[in-house]
Amino acid sequence: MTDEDAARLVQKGDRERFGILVERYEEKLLRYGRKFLSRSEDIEDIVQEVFMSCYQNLQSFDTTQKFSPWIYRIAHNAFVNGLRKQKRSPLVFVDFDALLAHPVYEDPVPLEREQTEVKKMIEKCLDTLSPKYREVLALYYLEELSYKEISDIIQVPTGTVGIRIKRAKEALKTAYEELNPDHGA
Amino acid sequence: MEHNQEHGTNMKDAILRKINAKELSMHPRYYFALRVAALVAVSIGVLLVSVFICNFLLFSIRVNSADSYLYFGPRGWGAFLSFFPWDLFTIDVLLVGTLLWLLRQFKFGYKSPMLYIVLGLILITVAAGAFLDRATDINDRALRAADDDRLPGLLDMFYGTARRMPPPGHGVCKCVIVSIQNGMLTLVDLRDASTTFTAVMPQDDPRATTSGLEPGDVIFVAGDRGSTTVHAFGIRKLPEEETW
Repeated sequence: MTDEDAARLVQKGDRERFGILVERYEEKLLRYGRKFLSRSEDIEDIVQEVFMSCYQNLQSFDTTQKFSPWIYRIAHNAFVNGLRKQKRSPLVFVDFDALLAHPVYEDPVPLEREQTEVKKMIEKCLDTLSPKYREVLALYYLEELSYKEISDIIQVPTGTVGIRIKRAKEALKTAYEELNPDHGA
Repeated sequence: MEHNQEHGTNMKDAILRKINAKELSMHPRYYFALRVAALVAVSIGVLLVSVFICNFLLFSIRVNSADSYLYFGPRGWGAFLSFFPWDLFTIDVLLVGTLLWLLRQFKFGYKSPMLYIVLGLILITVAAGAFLDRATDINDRALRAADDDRLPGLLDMFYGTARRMPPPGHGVCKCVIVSIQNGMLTLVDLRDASTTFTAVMPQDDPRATTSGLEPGDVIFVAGDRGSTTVHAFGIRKLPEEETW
């Protein structure tokens, strides 16, 4: 049964099926939250709130669309609020990355070697990046979502996702090389 | 792993318990339909108010012939900036900002670069405002209604104060020429027909000259005003449609 099928049944009143969605997404959302917030306290509470909000708003979900970007969008909002509570991120109204159009150059499928390398860098250095870079790297490399799906989750143009991932990778590489000076040689 | 499984079951059970105990319920479909409808209605409302303010801003410049200042060189440009209705402009900027925020709640709003949406909103607001002011007579009719005390409160607040005094030190605005003698104009202020005064021209200044003027013309005068004279730094004969 697909996520969308389960969501459709819950919409029609089969409430127990919501448990399937919780089982499928709990670990993913906890991992996303740990990478995004970088501090693990409160994350379980936030993820529980995400599922509760997901259930309350399930009738607004269009079952002809994919379920994962929809629930990640709810989680994104909850984690952004979590960040604000932690006062680690200033509230920025104008997102300069989203101001102009950027051409989209999505890697068809990132090379396995590159992917392994980026994941290794993410494990070691993700905490050093700002939340907006941490989030796109986590969604792209760990959750393996497409640019379009990430664009729907964080609600910025697809080109902005591309430019943000590119900048995040550069910042990650710099941070990794500072921690491991022998790596670049 | 075992911990994760246990933890997963806990969260699932906790949520299902709340659902079954009816502590957690789904919002009905119409709730979302109403929310979208409200969002659309508020967006349209904000857009209409924004267009009205922009229209009134342009009308405020037209009714006071403040664009005449732009013909009078650097001093005139300074006067134009002093006269410009910055309060209305600020309100309109805030409304466009609100509209931008509202539109970003829709998919097309966040899928498009913000700059394009801002430019689009400015273009729509200014074009619609200019159309209302220049291609229709609603402002002129509203002004006449305000003159006759026939406008309701909020509109009267706008149109009842549409005719404004010039900025301090920058002249007398609209006048009718009573007579022309020795390069001096005798004028009556259109806002106060009981006030007659004389305009003294500077020597050899093409921006303030009596050439081409005759008694009965309605002119826009900018200058330093004394009790009975004004030392003009700019004079412009107003086109027929701006003489009211």
